[in-house]
Amino acid sequence: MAQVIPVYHVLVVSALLFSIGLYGAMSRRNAIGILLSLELMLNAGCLNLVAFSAKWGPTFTYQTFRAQEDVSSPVGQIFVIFVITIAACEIALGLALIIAMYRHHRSIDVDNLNLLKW
Amino acid sequence: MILLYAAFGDSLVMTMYRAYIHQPLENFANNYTAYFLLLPESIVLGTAVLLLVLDLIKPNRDSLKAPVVAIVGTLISLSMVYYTQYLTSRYFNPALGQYWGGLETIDPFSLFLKSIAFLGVIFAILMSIKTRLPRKHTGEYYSLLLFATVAMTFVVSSSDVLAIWIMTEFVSLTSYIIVAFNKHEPRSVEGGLKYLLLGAISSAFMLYGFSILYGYTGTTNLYVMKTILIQSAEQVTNPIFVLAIGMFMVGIGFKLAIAPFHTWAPDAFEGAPLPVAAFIAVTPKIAVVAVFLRVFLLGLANVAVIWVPMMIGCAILSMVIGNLFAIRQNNIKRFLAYSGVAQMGFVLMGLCAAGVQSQSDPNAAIKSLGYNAMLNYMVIYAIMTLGAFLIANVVKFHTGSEDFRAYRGLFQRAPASALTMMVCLLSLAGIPPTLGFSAKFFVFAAAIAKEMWLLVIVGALMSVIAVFYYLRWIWVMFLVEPEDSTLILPSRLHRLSMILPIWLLAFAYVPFPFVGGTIAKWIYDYAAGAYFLTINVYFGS
Repeated sequence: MAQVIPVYHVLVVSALLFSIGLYGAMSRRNAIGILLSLELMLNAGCLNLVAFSAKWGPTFTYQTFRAQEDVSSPVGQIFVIFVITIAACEIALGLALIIAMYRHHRSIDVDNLNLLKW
Repeated sequence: MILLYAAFGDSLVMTMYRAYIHQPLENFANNYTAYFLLLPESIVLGTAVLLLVLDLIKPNRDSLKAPVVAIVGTLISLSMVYYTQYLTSRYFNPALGQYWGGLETIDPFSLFLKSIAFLGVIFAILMSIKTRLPRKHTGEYYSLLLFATVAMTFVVSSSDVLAIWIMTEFVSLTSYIIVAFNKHEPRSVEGGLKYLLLGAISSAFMLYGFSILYGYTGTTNLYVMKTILIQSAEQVTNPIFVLAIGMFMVGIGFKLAIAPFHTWAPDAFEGAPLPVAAFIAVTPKIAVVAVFLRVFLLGLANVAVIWVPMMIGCAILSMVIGNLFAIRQNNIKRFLAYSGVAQMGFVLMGLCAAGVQSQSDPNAAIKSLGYNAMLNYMVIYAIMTLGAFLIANVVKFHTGSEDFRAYRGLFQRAPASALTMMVCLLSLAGIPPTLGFSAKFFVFAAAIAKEMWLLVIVGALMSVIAVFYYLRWIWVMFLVEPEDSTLILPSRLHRLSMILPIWLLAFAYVPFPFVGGTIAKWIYDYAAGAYFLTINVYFGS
């Protein structure tokens, strides 16, 4: 049996990733920079899910809870595939809106979004 | 074809049932016959796709074709909701509400909220007919509304964090597009972009929270999660677990626009076309409240010690910030956005009361007054907010303005509209003869029964402030001379759709004062009943 990386190591990486992403999303003025930071935050969640999926193994699922048969269903990894899809949609939509914004302001600096206040 | 289905579909299911009758019901519920329960969703989805195709084939911009197709599709699936209820009660074991590997739970609770979501979208479509939208993409607009509705019907029946996350994202993604639908209007794009950036951050928070919950319990299914948390009750004060619930609160709080996370709401509402603002003010919030109920009262019911204090904080902040900021708003959409933030504070008050229960009975939270008061409040909130947006739409259509000044002397210009607006606003303020009073009454009753005095006192104070700013709008409609005294004649469509909220709000309460109110009673009988048979079965109580 090969040496397995303990789950805590992955958790630390994902926590760092999430914090960096959050910092970027808060401090960036460039809309595309914010989208990139968002991607980091989502990937931190994905990393967590994969790590925990490895920790729990593939058998601890809804089906085995109902004690019918020993079905292999790695929930965490499937979750990650969905997350990647949704993240792609979000980025596509974000870029579309950024283009629409560029047409109005000739810039993608979010400081220009100042028409609506309080 | 639908009629044929209505006639023969039932016997078809009956045949399938006979074929499987010698098998355990559990297998039966997990095989393909369960897809009959997806009829409402599939019909709306089909209508949405049909609208897109129709728009491509023959882009007939100004005709009524697209909205009529959308309304017919929604009405058919609304009837299918009741058909589904009949199916579940008759052919499926109601105690086995979970289908598709536990991703979705079809129970009276979800069917009830599905029908409310369909009613909300019908209102939004009716309002959109008389709104000036970009002429190029009318079909797309209606199909997006329907896509959002499909997502909401899935959200209200999700019982797995995987399904909850994906489907709330689906709701949000469609909402971002329809908020920024007037893409040639800088405000609309700005509202949409702010909504998208903040919404995406919130969903990342929610995902991180869910991933920790999954890591802690090893499951994504809420029913299983509840069992596991019952077994490991002494470990729940683990700080990691507190972090997970906190992050989930941040994420879902954004979607519900409760107080520290409400900043997107006024901007998105002001930027959005008026019917879209009405839509996202009501239907996604109902779906998100369903998520709150499922996650907090089902999955995390045993760790109420952790989330109730957070929830109390959010409720108080929502009531204070929502009410104080609503005072100075002069744009009807921003005003209703802040009033929505405040109203959500009262909804959370019901949730806090429902959370504090004895741990011996796993179903105590669901039988509680707080749970019913909360659902009751959401339905009444939907009616009053849609009613207020309806009149705002009439005024916008005839005067082209959403400003406070456009409402000067509205009573002299359009008496029926002004009266409807008055009933809706009085109801939002919670003045006794209206339905809004019964909503607030039950929420306060639930909180007082649990002795949450801080919440009750803040809620009472904020209700007084609320009366002030709702009356400010009523005052300007009735007691100020209009600048321009030409009569406003709402179209027949507007007049027809005004009838529903005013009758419901003003008179639905009258027959049963204080006993329960008609709607509250109905919800209690309908929604509270079988949602929890499921828990009984799983937890052997």
